Amino acid sequence: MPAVSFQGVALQRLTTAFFFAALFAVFSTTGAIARPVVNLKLQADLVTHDDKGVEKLVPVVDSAGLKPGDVVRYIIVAGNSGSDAATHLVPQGKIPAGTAYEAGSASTSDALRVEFSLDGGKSWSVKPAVKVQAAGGLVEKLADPSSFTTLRWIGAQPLLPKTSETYTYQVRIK
Amino acid sequence: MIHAKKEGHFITRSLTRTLLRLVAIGVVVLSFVFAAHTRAASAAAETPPNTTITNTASATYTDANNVSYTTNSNTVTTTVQNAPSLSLAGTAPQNVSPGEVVTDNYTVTNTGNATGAITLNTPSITAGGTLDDAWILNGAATGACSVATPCPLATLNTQAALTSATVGTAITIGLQYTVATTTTPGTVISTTLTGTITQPAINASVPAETSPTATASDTDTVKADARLDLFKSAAAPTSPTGLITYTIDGNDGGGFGADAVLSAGRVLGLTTPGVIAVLDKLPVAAGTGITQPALFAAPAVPALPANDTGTVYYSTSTDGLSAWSTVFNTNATYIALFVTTSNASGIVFPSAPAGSSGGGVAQTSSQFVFTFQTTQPAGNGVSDPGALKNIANSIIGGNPGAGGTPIIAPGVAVDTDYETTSTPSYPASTFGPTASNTTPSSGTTPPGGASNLVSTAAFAQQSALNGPLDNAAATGSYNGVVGVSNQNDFTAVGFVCSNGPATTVVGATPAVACNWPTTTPVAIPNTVANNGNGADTYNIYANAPAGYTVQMFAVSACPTTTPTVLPIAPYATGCTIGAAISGVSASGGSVTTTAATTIAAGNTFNYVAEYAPAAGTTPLPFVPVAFDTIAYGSAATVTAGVPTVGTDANETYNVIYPGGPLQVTKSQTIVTNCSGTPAPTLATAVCPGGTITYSLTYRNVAPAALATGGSGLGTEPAFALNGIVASGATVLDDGTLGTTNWGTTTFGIDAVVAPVLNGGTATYSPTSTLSTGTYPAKTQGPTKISVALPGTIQPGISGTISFQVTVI
Repeated sequence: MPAVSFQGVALQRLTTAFFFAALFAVFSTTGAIARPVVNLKLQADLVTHDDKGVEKLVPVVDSAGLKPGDVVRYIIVAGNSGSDAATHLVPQGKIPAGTAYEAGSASTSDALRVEFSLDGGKSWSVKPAVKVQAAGGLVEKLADPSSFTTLRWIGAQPLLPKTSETYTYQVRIK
Repeated sequence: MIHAKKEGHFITRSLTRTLLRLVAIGVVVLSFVFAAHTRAASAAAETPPNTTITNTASATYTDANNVSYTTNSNTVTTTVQNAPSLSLAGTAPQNVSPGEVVTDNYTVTNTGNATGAITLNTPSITAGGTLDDAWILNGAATGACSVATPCPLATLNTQAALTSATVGTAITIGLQYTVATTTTPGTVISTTLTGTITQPAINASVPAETSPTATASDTDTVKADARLDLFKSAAAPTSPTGLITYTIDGNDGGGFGADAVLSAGRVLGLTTPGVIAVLDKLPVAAGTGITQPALFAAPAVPALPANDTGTVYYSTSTDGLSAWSTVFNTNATYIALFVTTSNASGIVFPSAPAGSSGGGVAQTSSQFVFTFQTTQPAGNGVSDPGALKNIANSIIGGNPGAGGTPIIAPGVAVDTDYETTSTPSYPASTFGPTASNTTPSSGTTPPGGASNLVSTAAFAQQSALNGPLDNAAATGSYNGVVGVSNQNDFTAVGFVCSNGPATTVVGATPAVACNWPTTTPVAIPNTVANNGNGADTYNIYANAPAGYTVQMFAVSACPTTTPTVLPIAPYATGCTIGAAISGVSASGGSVTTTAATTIAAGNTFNYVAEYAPAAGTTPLPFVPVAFDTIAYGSAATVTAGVPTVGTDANETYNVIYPGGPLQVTKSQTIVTNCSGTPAPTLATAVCPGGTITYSLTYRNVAPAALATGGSGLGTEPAFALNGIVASGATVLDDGTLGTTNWGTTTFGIDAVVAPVLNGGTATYSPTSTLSTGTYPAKTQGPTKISVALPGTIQPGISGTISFQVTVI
């Protein structure tokens, strides 16, 4: 994961704490439910760099505009507020229209692998391929990452109760 | 625009030129359009402003019972803003020329994410050019902001293409400036253009925004207009019959190719446009009596650049303005190489290859080499360096800086309406000077179109003549024996012995001397003539016979003599002797002038040779002493200081007759003797009453052959016999003078046998009555006779005066 400024880390930790506080509040009001409850939090940060090239993240709010060429990092935090572990957790992120996936930007530390889709999630592949017409006929070649529409993380470990995992990826505003 | 000042034809030419450039530009434009479309495609994918981008994450998972669940995140939303961006690019560097109106083309492209308004700022330009504030939009030929009517920047910025520039659309902006006519070739002129684009506001969330300033520069290099660099050379002949070869190397030394222009043809009386016309006035040797060189043969048409055709023209006019013809004429006064082309592009004479460094500079690589040959001129001075001088002149077309005006050598005739096609014929009256420009071109500086000045000369044929004053070419035989030639010509002089009239006593021992003059030198003027075809330096070698010395002096103010003018004074008057020009020779030795004298062809130089006897020398009366001098030029062979007579070493003789020239010899004849027995020998003695005839034979001792009309005279003039021709001579016999006693031992000059006077007039004394009567009764007659001889006594001519006396 790219270096994150102190401000960005603090913001992330603060958000996680708030997330679990809210999660436990749900438990306290609904009683014991013997099943996992996974909640997702999506955050968008504008990726910038200072004069020295150090990356800085600026949260994107609705009122703030983006411009073509801006790089946005999406942060997905999956928290398990249930009493049982969530297994086969597969978080899924979208690459919105008007943006293009930044190749290699998807985090991989909390997943066995990252898969991409070119068709909105109908089919998946670690390395999506497309068929193109060549002199000898149709040949298969790796798809341009900018053509990805969706990505997902295939989890390796169950998400235990009262724990969370973070998944990130970046897009560029076309 | 400068072009607007030209006549219609030029406007057409200029417009054509500009449009041609636009064609080239068009290629660039098209490529940009293509690129722009590519960008436009990506720009179309670029997210327009006010676009909302939303994102929601999701996840699936299962519980211990393998029940599947799906969950979604919150939704993140943002709005795309205006992102104006302007791309500004110059075009490839181009070559421009002084005075040219140049269009620098820039490509402006909206590279933002929405349509915007482009604003171009006032550009800047580096030294050498001046902005015209004339702009062309998208290379349009006509209309607002077009090639025909460029617009100011303020107007350009209001054009729809700029105020509503759509994303990805390339716009071509032509920025015009004028290159100063004084800008030196090699100068780099850069224009710099800046601009911004503003995308309008869409709503409160998406305000208007202006791009950063885009900047681009266009760099042009100033090069000289098409310029014909001519380098002319001449190879002098190596023999008297050799030819002079002239070679003209030509290059377009400018930065541009040359167009065909009417002027190049019009100067030859043609209506055919030509790329170049090289004119050369055939060299003429200055001076009178010169046989001028003639064109030897029709020269070959030189190899020319592809698609060019050369034709050689000849003119016999005096000024090169008319009478041009393709027919070879050996008497041509002008020759020209006219080059036309079949190249459709019009640019037919490419700019010079490397090495063309300017008119009058030898080229390492020529685009054509034109050679022609002439015969040698003949006459005085034609072999002098620079005797033949000339410059090749030219016209070359195609000069962007001057709107197509040809470069014309300064001396070449200029037609003020040189490109008017309607002129039906060659209007010589509208042309200026002839093609005889004499100002050479040097390096890259003006005058363009002219070659260097080349000089050459005929083969040097040096020749010296040396002879009597003002008659260096005289021929003769100085002693009447040697053959007549201009090596044996002579000047003969006599002088009055300083010890009295020359006397010869037969058998006298020692010989009677004729003392050398003591008050005036015996100095004989001679003349050296340069009979060659060029200036030369001359020395004079003087020789003295045994017992005599010689020294040479400068001389001035000598009279002009011709064969009809009789003798000048040999040494006393007539010339003014100046400083010595040689030392004094040893007795019987020789001496040479201490410094050479330069004499122009056909000119002469006078000098005198002064002679004197060495100590111990006794000049004998009437015994000629012959001296000689040899004048020689640079081509003469000189061995050990002695020149070998020949073409460039000519000899003349100065013959001195001491006591001469008139020698009188007296003889006697005993006509009758006494009657005594035995009678005296008649030949040796005489008795009283015997008669004696005295004969006074006078003779000009110079060889008879030298007399006027004499056999073997050659051209030697009689006047060369300075003091030799006896005029007004008087023969005197005084019977009482000195040891002569016939005046006292005879009855004087007898009338019985009248004196023979040979046409002279006799004067007698002390009485004019001749002796009469019969011995011994005779009267006393004159004891002295003086006979004035009539006319002149030419060399070799003699006569006798005789009279008879009777012994008392």
